[in-house]
Amino acid sequence: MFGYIKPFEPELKINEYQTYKALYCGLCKQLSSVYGPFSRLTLSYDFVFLSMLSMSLAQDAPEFEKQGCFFNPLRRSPCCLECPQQDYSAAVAMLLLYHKTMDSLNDSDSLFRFALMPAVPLMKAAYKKAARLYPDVAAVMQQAMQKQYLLEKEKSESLDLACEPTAEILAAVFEPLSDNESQKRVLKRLGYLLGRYVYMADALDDMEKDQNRGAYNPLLFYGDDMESRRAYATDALYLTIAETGAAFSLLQTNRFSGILENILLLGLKNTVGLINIKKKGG
Amino acid sequence: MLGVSESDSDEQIKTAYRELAKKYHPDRYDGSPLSDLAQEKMQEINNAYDEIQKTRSRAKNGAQNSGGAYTGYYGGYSGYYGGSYSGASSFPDIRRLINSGRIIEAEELLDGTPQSSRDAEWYFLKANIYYSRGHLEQASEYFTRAYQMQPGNPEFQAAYVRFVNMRRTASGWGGGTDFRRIDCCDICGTLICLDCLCGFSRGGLFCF
Repeated sequence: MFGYIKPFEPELKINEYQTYKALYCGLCKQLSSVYGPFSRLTLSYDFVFLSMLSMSLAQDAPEFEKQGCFFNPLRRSPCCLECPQQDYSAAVAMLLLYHKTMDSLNDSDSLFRFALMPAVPLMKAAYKKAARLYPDVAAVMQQAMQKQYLLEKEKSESLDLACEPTAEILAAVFEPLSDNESQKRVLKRLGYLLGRYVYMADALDDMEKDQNRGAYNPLLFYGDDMESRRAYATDALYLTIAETGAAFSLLQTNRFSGILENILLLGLKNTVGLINIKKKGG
Repeated sequence: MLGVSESDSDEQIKTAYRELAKKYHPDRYDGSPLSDLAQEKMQEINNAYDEIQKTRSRAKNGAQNSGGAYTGYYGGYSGYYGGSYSGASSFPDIRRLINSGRIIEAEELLDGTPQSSRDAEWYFLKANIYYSRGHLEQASEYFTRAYQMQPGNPEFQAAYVRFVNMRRTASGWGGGTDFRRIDCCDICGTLICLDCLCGFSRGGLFCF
């Protein structure tokens, strides 16, 4: 579910790459400071994208400072200082982590459940804190998860409907990033489309695993073999990626447009390619 | 606005304009819930280009009107958004509702149409409704259906071709990810890229 929204590194300028790393560091530090050290495990490219998107629309630019890294104490590198945009991203990470964990607990075997158990109270605490800070987003997520549960139970064959809960979550997460009405519309659409992308990329990635476990995966309803399903999924992903680009073109950013363009116009397509290569390799 | 500077040549400015016009071209946003925003953006770009042309013409002592190529482009993109149907529609009310963003009402009316009256245009309008809502797979299917039922119709054909291209290339403009205009495959073969690979994460690299 995570790690599908990331840059295509060969096309990043060096200073863009360094900025990206600094934002990654910044989010890591803020997660730890607000939600405790274990929360760093949720750190993924997607949430760095979210903080960057948020910062691109903010009035004030983020601030950077050379700091040490917990995981690599020998290096001091630029790190983004604490700010409201990272706070939002960290909270969204906690909300999603909680739901994902509860989801895993429900459809995993007992050994995995047992391993997750000690983390649950910590996650519940983090969830409560994040939900108190951003109750609207938490509410949308709750409803979407319910919807997801129902459509999986009914074994919905519609890819569009299967994507919708994730799409609605991201639409609700992105919309508040601006106060401008037109920008909100663009953000809502952008979030919806990225939610589709994330759900479909995850479905494509997990196709074989889900088939073996008898788990729900809307892609399994198409075609007769994995090859044709993969081709279909790639087409569907490409269509959503194209629309994502169109929506993003209408967003008015104050900074980071180079990195954001790289991620949305090159990174997403590259990620699909990587998933497919993995499959062909066996 | 156009991302150009005063020192740029006329040719460079024309190129910059063309790039932006491709990006915000009404064809790319036809039927999109954001089409009105794209139209606004296109208008801003046209105005900005207009300004530059006027300023430059004045600077040239009015001796030469360099507007030849630009009028061609400029003229074609005004008022194209929100329904370009030039023929007689069987569902004018529904089209009006869709164009004003009243999707739920439009769908209600459309679904109320008896099976026997569901022609190619019905499928096209249903596709537009799905597209508006973000149900892109359904939209894709219905646009295809409309085109298959009436392949001679330019409106249906345009939508069908556009979706086929997006499915194939993951891009809505320029028919490819030509932003930054670098051929990645050229780079892959060179040492520069190998250098990059060594320095960057080992997370995998797919040169497309």
